Amino acid sequence: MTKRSSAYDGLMDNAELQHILKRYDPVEPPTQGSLMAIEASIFAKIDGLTRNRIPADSQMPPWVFLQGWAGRVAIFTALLIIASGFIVGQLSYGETNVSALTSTPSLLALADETLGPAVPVTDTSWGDNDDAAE
Amino acid sequence: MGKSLPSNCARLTKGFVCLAGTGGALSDSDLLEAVAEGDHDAFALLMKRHLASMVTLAHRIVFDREQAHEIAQEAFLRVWKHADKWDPYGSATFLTWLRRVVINLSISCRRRVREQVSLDAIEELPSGLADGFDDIATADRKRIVREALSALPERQRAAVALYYFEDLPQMQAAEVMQMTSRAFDSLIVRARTNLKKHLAGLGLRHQEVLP
Repeated sequence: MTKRSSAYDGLMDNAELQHILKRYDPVEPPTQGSLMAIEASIFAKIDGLTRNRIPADSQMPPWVFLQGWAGRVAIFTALLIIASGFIVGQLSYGETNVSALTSTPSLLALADETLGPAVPVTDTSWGDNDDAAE
Repeated sequence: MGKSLPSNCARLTKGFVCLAGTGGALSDSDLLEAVAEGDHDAFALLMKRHLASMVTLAHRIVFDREQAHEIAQEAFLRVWKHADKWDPYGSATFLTWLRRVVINLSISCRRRVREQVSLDAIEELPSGLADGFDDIATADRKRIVREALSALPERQRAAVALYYFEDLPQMQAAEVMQMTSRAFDSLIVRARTNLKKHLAGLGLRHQEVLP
């Protein structure tokens, strides 16, 4: 594409358009003062970035990893694990109690074991004998 | 970044400092290499070379001086942050990449604001121009050109800025805008057509302005 091609509508050709744009360029170049201000602002931001950057060889406190999003996720995960462990523990404790109730021998069986089998009272004639003795 | 230092530079306490003063012999890639190692002086040289043109480029798209300053700042901060990732053997030159960043930031900014350029914008024209009829006429024509440019969509305006004001060859301008040469051709034709319409609609015809 050349800058001077066929005229669009007879208003002006491309070279004329370019001439107008250049001659009546509405954008003034930045002043030296504004450029210096921009440079100063950029350097101020760079200094801030450099200060916030943690040197790789510095002694970092052990809780540094808990900062930021990664730390929050780690803490949340840990709490989740603890909570789920507690819930699972509670559930399995309940199951143990139920099974203990079902598997423990009854008190009667326990009594049989320790005291011997209970003797059934079948002789009811003692009262009669007493009467006979009298 | 194990490349040796450029021969015309000396390493001082803070990094590279160019003996030539202005760093004219150093390429942008050399300076970027130094910037990647945290060299403030190399960064200052890069800014001396390109800051003014980047402010102007942004200004041509957003038509707001303060926003143009902020865009240029942001672009150079990105240079500082990402200098270590710069590939000197990549397809784009540093200046192409920098222009691309400025244009993308400007287009995003412009789309956010979507300001309509009002007559208040004329205040940015130098007040000294209002002396005599010729200067008034010049100021008025600048206002018309500005309004015509402001009426263009962002990408067309960026294409006009690169092609007509920065005088970039079509291939290079297309590379900055990350499009094929053919697509850029189409874009600049549309921009030119719109611009001519707007200029004519605003009352500016070539018979009035050409000597």
